Amino acid sequence: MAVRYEESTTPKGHPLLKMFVSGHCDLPQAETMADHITAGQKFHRQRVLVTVAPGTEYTPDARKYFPTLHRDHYAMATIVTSAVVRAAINLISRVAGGSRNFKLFTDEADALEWLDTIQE
Amino acid sequence: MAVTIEATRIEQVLEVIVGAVHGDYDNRVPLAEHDDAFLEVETGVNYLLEELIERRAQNHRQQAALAAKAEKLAEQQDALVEALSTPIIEVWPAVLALPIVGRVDEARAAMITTKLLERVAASRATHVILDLTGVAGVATTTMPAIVRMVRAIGLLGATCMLTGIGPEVARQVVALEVDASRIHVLGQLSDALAVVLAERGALRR
Repeated sequence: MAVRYEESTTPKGHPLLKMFVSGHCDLPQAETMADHITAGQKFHRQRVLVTVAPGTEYTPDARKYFPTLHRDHYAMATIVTSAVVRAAINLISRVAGGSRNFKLFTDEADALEWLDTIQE
Repeated sequence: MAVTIEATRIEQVLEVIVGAVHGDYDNRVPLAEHDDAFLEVETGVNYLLEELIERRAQNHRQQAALAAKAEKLAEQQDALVEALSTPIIEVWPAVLALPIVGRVDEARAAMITTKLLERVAASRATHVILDLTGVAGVATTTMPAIVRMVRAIGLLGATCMLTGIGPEVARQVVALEVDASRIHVLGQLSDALAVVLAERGALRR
């Protein structure tokens, strides 16, 4: 899996961590992603914007791990253009019983607007 | 919510489910970019199969761990039983006592003989007391085996005494017509110990 990180801000100036994800995601890689938002890190309890490329896949242990991250972010917007990947992420969220302050988008502008308006 | 699904997609899902029912978890529903709710069902079936593979692997690991544990326990039990079967005690310097408990078959008699002879040689024992108080019964081959044990001990230069022969064992010995005439038999272990100590002049009256 390839993950690229970028520090940014939302249109209203909130700190924002951007992640660009592609390929095959297993547990160690998921944990590496999580390391950027765990307690003590610059983006802990901040806004996160994840862009997931078409063809991205998650191993069973990674699928179980991702929903536990809701404690570490303020809000997470995920941009997905692939219907297959969207179905996977929806299912991961459904199995976890839903994810707090988490939403899927197909467009970055909509995602950023949501991140600026979301109230905890 | 009404969803129209191509029959082929439903067939593919059913085929994978039927395979899974027969234990084949390796098939997957082919996923295509259909932007509909059924895609989540197809994805779900695939995820379920991956979970089943993982659970099956976990079960195999647990079974292997349990089998290893059971084998270790059996080994420990065997070692314990063997140790308890031949509790050879040095009751006085160069005087060994072996209380025998339970039923003695030929295999157990052979094991006791081996252990006892090793111990007699190692400790340069002069006397061996075989106490049969705890012996419930003897197999047909047991008394001849004990007699052979006594003779073997004699060949190592030690004197062997039998104590604690109960009425039932005595009846069996007689019924089996075992020649025990050359075996030194005493009532209780303490009697044998008294004889040994008297021989050595250790008892002062």
